[in-house]
Amino acid sequence: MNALETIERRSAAAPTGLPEPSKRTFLTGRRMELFEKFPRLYWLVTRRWFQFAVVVPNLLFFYAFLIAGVFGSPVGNRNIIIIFIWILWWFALITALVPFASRVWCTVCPLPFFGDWIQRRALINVRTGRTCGLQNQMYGLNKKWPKALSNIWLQNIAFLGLCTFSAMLVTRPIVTVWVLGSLIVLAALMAGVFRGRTFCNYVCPISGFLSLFSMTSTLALRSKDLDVCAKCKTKSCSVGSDKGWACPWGIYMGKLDRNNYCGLCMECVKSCPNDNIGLFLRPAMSDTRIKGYDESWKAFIMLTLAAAYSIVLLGPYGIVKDFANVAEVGDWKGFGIYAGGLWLTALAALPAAFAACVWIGRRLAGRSDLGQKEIFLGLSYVFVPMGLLAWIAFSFPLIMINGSYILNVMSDPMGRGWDLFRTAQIHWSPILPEYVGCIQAPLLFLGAFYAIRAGYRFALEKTGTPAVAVRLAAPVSILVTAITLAFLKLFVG
Amino acid sequence: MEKIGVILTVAVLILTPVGMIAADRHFASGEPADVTFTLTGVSDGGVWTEEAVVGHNYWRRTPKPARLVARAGQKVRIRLQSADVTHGFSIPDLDVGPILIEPGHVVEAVFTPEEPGEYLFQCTTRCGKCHEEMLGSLVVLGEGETLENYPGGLIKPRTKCLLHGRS
Ligand code: SF4
Ligand code: SF4
Ligand code: SF4
Ligand SMILES: [Cu+2]
Repeated sequence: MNALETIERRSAAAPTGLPEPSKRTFLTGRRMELFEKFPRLYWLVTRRWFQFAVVVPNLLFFYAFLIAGVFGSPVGNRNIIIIFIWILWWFALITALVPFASRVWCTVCPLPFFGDWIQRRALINVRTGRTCGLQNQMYGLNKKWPKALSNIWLQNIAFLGLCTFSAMLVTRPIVTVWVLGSLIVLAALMAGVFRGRTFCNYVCPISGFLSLFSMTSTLALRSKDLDVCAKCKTKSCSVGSDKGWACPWGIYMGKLDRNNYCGLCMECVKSCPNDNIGLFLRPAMSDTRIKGYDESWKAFIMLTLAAAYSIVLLGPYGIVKDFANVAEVGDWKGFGIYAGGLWLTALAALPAAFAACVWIGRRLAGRSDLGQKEIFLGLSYVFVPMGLLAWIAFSFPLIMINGSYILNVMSDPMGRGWDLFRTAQIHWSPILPEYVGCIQAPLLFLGAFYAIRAGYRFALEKTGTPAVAVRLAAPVSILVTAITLAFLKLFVG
Repeated sequence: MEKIGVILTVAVLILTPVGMIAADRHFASGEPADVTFTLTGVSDGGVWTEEAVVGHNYWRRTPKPARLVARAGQKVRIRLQSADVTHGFSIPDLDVGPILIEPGHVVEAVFTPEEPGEYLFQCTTRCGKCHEEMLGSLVVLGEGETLENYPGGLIKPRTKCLLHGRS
């Protein structure tokens, strides 16, 4: 088994037309290398204890939240597990961490903690030795994950499944305990059987949207000079060394050209003998390549969910609210309609509408030589910026409505009468709800702008002529505009 | 280094629940009283109960209705909380309440009943289908009396809502 053998999507064609002849990188355009700029940051992430130190506090909180979910108030908005995970954490993730710091959540995530421990039998140190071509001694069965599942379909289905029951998740603390508890157990079990972060790569329901939306991030870990990687004899980033573990996500830095599947664990930064890995600040929406239908469908799912949640939580339609909320209302037939509509839209209707737009675009452009699949995948990226910004727009009122609860559960995490910070009784709503629209509308427009721009750029790259590119991207741009207007109607009225 | 890691991890796993229990004890100790009860209002089923109604059991069953017992002249403290919606608490004959109970908050009723007897308490905020059945009693025993003097004739604890299960 060759450790350098990475799955297809992670390998990239050599970058073309790069401006700097001295250093070839996968980054184009303006960028700033942060390790050089802040040597202390580099020092910090190359400490062996770095990841442990950032995960353990989260493990503590996560554990406390689970306890609160089991023994605290059964009322959702009075239990910290609901408010901090589904409101605060989600909000931080979608509005700040993912767009500005890529998968930094995965750096600090406590879910794989025990799995890593099982695999490494070490929390901080690195073990040298040999395991399946790697330069580290690793424990567990070290099996390889089946090729057929080496994509994010499982994550897509798991995420859509979880989200279908979101009304139950956010109202019953115990359901969240079950879900998160199962994830941590599954992560540990899978780590015992399969090598590396198989759970993270292929199963974790959070991972799918982190990978998709991290493409938009202004932060990226990349090889500083691809020629150095090409000449590098050790390939330590991929196979490990006495300084760091082999990339748990199965990445070889010489081919990493997108953020999607790098969990920013910083092992490669430690192990690279050539100091050739940089953490770059770059313009938003820089990774634009969708590499498989699984990723396209993730984009469809995310956009559909943003729409569905907006309708359920913010829209004026009481009946849909009741349908979604099977836990409270107990109307299984209504819930069936809601769930069916959700799955049908996300998995079939939106993709079909999009495919039609792609097909019409190809007709308009008169370029039958461009394959439907190629253009479909390329243009489906438009739903990435759009979906992200729709989610951000949707999340703002959520945090505003729940302002008081956040302060309350901080002081009284279980709803049992504690008052740790004297905020247990505070009533607070951050911004008047009538102004939410002023934040949401620009966000939606920004999403549409990025989407249409990305569509056009892709079309231009494929066709080479602006006039033809406009035609190729036109139907998709119209679809994007229509969806944006629908969101706008929903948010602003 | 590795040892510190293991120690820290074990410490987190042990000290987190210990710390939470300690905090819970700390915040539960209020004004000193002779007897303290914790009473939780549950709208679904219409019950006041002394059982802990928390995340893991709320959805599974309707808890047992409470019958509180104290002695005349004892200072009684009732910590009131709600497992679901806003309830109200009142013991009309002892001039206690009405007190509003918001879910996830704890409010206290502190009083000293002097006269022996069985006192009815009730929910004073319309909280659901079983609101009318949210009744319970505080038995105040006189000198030398035992609970046998109060066979529970005043309140029938098993009500329609309970018998027919969840509303
Ligand atoms: S992929 Fe999921 S489990 Fe893995 S680190 Fe990221 S969020 Fe945590
Ligand atoms: S170890 Fe460093 S130089 Fe070698 S391939 Fe990896 S990133 Fe490139
Ligand atoms: S590429 Fe580096 S930072 Fe990213 S997951 Fe692999 S080892 Fe961790
Ligand atoms: Cu009541």
